[in-house]
Amino acid sequence: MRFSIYRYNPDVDDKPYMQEMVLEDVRNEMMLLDALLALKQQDESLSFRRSCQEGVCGSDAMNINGRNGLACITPLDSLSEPVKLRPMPGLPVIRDLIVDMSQFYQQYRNVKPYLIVHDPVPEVEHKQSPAQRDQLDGLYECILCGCCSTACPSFWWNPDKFLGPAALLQAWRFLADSRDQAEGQRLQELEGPYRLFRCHTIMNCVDVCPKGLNPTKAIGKIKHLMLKRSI
Amino acid sequence: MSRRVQGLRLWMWQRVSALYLALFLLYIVISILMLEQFDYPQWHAWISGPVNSIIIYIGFLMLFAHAWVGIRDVIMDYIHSIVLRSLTLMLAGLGFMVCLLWLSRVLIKAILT
Repeated sequence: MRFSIYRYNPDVDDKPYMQEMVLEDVRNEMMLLDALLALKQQDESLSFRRSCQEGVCGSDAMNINGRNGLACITPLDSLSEPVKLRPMPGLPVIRDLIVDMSQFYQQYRNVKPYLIVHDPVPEVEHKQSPAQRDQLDGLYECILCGCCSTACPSFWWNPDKFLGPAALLQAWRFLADSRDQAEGQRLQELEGPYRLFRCHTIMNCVDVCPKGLNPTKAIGKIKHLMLKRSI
Repeated sequence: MSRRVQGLRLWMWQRVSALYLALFLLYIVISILMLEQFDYPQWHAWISGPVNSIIIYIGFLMLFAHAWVGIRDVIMDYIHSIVLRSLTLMLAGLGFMVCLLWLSRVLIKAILT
């Protein structure tokens, strides 16, 4: 199987280039990450992140044949040849397929991704009804792989100002949480022309999310809650 | 301009104007189809009616509002230099103002003649 892989080592290379590689021993039910690990045997300078190898940690997010995804859950037989592998777009490349996610994590931090509770801490846990807990389904599953935000043109143009779909999904995750008591503060922090309202409903985020989540829907819910509170 | 005006309010204007424009276009098409004869006197009588001229004027105001939010979004996305951005926003705003004045002149003339 033929691969065309983005290579860039800032210590050695003047500019990035695409390296052609061939993997002879392709087995059935092999995932892309298995192929990358085999290719690393051929050329051990090939660099990429990986950890859990089962779509839980989100480390091996990359651009696969033009579409962001996780290498560990992408079957090789679903890909056309040559398989073009590039780092996720829009973020600075550290080396080969490894990108600097600092900007992405900073935007995640900006939405205060934790419960804010002003009441005294209860003696038992903060309780939720099953219906209240259901509100978090489709939100808490995010693994922060970055596939969505780096597929979003609005995030490419304004990565420092627009929070991006991943962070906004988490913003709604805490707005939708019955235990959180900072709705007003959270909404106020999302106001302005950039943080939330750079989303133009392009929906690349929904298209590429490896966990099947829907950040666009979450963003819509934030806007409607904002509208409801302002009227 | 406050942060609130720039975010939620403009987003809402975009939606409200889109809704008005959709209904407005439907009204225009149905009204024109219902004219007995599609000629200048018929059209003139239709456009210079007080209700129609107000509906059309508001329709164009909504079109300008919608276009303004859209063009502002494009400029904010793609033009990052503050000087260039201010200049293009000013030029776009000026363009809309000129169109609005021109539209007012056309409609007033249509009503008066």
